[in-house]
Amino acid sequence: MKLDRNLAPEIKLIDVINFPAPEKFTLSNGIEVYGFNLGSQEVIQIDLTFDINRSNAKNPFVAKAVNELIGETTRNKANGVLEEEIDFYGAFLESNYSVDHSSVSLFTLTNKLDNVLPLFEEAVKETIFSERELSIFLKNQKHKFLVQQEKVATLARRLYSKLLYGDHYYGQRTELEDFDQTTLDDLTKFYQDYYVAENCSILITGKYNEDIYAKLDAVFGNLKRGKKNNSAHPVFSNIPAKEVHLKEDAVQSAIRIGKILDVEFGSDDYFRLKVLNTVLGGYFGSRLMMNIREDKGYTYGIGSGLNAMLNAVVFSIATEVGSDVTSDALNEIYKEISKLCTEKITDEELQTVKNHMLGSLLSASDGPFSIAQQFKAVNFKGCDFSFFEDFIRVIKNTTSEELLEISNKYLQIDTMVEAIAGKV
Amino acid sequence: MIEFNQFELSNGLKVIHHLDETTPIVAFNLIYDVGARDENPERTGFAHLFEHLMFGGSKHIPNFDGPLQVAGGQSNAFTSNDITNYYCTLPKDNLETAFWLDSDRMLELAFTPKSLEVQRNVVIEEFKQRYLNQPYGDIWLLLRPLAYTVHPYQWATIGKEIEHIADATMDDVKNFFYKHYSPQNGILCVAGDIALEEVKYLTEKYFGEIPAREKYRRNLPSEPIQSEYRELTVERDVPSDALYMAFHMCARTDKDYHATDLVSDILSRGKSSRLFKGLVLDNPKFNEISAYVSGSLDNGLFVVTGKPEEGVSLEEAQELIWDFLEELKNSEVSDRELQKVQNKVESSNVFGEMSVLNKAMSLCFYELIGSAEDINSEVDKYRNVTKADLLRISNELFKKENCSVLNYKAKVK
Repeated sequence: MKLDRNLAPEIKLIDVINFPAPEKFTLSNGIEVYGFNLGSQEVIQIDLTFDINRSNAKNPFVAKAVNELIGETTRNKANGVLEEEIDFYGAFLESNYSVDHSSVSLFTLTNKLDNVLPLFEEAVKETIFSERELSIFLKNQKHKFLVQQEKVATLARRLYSKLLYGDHYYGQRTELEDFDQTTLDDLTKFYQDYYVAENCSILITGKYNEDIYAKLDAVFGNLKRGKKNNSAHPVFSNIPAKEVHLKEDAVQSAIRIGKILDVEFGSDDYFRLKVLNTVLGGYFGSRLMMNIREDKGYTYGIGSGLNAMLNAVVFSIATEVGSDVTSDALNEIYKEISKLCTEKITDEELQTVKNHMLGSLLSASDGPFSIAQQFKAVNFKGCDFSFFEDFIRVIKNTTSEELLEISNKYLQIDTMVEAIAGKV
Repeated sequence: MIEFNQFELSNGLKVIHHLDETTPIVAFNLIYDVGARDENPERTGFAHLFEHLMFGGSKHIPNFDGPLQVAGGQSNAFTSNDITNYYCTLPKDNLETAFWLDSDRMLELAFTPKSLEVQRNVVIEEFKQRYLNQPYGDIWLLLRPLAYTVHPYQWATIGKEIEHIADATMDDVKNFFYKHYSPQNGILCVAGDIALEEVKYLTEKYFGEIPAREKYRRNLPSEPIQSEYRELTVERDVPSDALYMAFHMCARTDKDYHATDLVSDILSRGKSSRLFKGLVLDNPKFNEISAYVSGSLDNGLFVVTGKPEEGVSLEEAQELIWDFLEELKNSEVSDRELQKVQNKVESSNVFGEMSVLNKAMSLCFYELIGSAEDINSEVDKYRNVTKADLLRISNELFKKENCSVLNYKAKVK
């Protein structure tokens, strides 16, 4: 029989997605450890996450400086010595920070764990900051900062953050003078205040033996308890505003549009907003991509997303478009948001989005590191994997009527802020 | 150790199958043996523009991404100077959708004028976003033609200039398709919880009837051995100077490739590497510094680059770097240093094999450059490198007459 290429193969809808529950263990000093003993590769990731509050430091740069300098110099080892030892075993440290968290992670082959765990312990517990090291770091970071400031994407992001958060500390941005005013004491204080057991949780992922918990207790069970950080500081709705950061020589303009959503993380409305966001700008076939890239050719890419932080959920659209078509692109973006509020999504489009979202969740359940990342993304809000059960239920059941209602409730254009860097 | 099966269709399509029962996702990776080096010098950027057009509809299917999204899948592609790689991941039950979509675009593209017009604009915006509207964005547009005088590596995958993309015609598109997108030029890998028999059946069903077409024989001009030091100085509106030094090195497939790669690791992998420790921490003359190899399939480039700190001239910066290169030429590295970079290669290799998609991409790539089997001997090749190899390679590489330097100066405001 000849193959009929006009006919799509039959597809199966995704029914069940398995996120295996983590193992749980509590260290002697109360640090909660979550473990995902999964996968076929002989590797381990150990991830220490600390709750921080940047607003208690002199400037927002302090949090980044502490995070990036972890392990560079320790009480007993000169600058670089510890890192050379970790490198020698083929392991590596990675540090990350956000407005709410700082994390330090160790990646190692399972058979090198016993060699590198004491080194990791030393990095987390014994870091000191030296004048010389800090001055080199500040100089290099200042340089990077200046390079970043040349990019329209950076300028738009900074302006957007100012418009969105107003006086809330989420809106604090590193300024040039911060590099000249950050001192050793600032770093030491931040390190001592936040890199402590009361603010710490641990996530281990990969292939390991059961005795790993005892090993972790031996190295981090005596991390000093310290004082629990209180980061709860509600963000109130933004004031609608529009602003342009003019950059005359820009061949593209960066656009950021969005708002703070008054919605509870993990609620049905939150999940419906995730569906709406996907329709609008959350995947390659989204309306923004189809219109502004695939029909008009104004941009290399455009997307939207929901960003859940400890104190706020933010909806944002981001793109860079040709300078000459900036206002045309803006018109089209607003047209697409308005359309969500006035027209029902067709069954066909909604079904595509649902299938796509379930497919993405299935991908997210693939592999130990990905599963652990998903867990981390909900655990900081006090949720577990039942979050995803709810999410999947809402994806499957939500209707275009509900979504129209949600659009009108949350995504009115006149409630948003607009930041542009480039030329309008 | 990655186990896999291989077979070939009568039209020349090579297929690799890798079973991984631990994942609900299947990866479908199709690599084509075509890259920017195969372009007409008057139509550069075409391989990459073409990659965009591959998503603009095929003979029987008006839109590539739509049906894939309905099947819960995702897809993307990338183009380099050497290859073009297309990939999908999707729920394993819906694997057939990937076969249906990707075979149809190998059979024949839709060649719609609208798709060409829009993707020309999209790629021009990509050109602006990545190469023109970024500080230091045009470095490779300058460095490539300095280092390569005749080989097509003298242009970047995005192309020499925007006009080449703007001028692309439908005839160009059709010619390129029939020349390069034949089954003989492709390698497919399907990786996931899928039986070999299933992959054989689906491959034959969807790709079997595609005509073999004419085999494209690559015949590129080889780059003559560089015999004089080259230097180009430009001024740009950037916050600080940058220095780029490019040395000609062997191809990815050469027996010396792994040793050359380790030389770059000794110089700049991690914070304990020689250049970072030496010129950023101990004697802080650079804000940032790095060394890397291009890994290209024809003779490549070994690049050392850095941004000297304020007050350090580009001439001085270059001399400081030469001191480190001379040291590598004059004395062997220590056992511990060699072991460190070898250990690092081993662990990154294991971490790189964590997903079915990465495994599928690597299997296709190794098959393209020689044999998929090599995926399992790669770490050993690094392990077998000796201190004497590093010394010899350093002496071959780091000669003034083998060097092209780009001085990228900040405009004085």
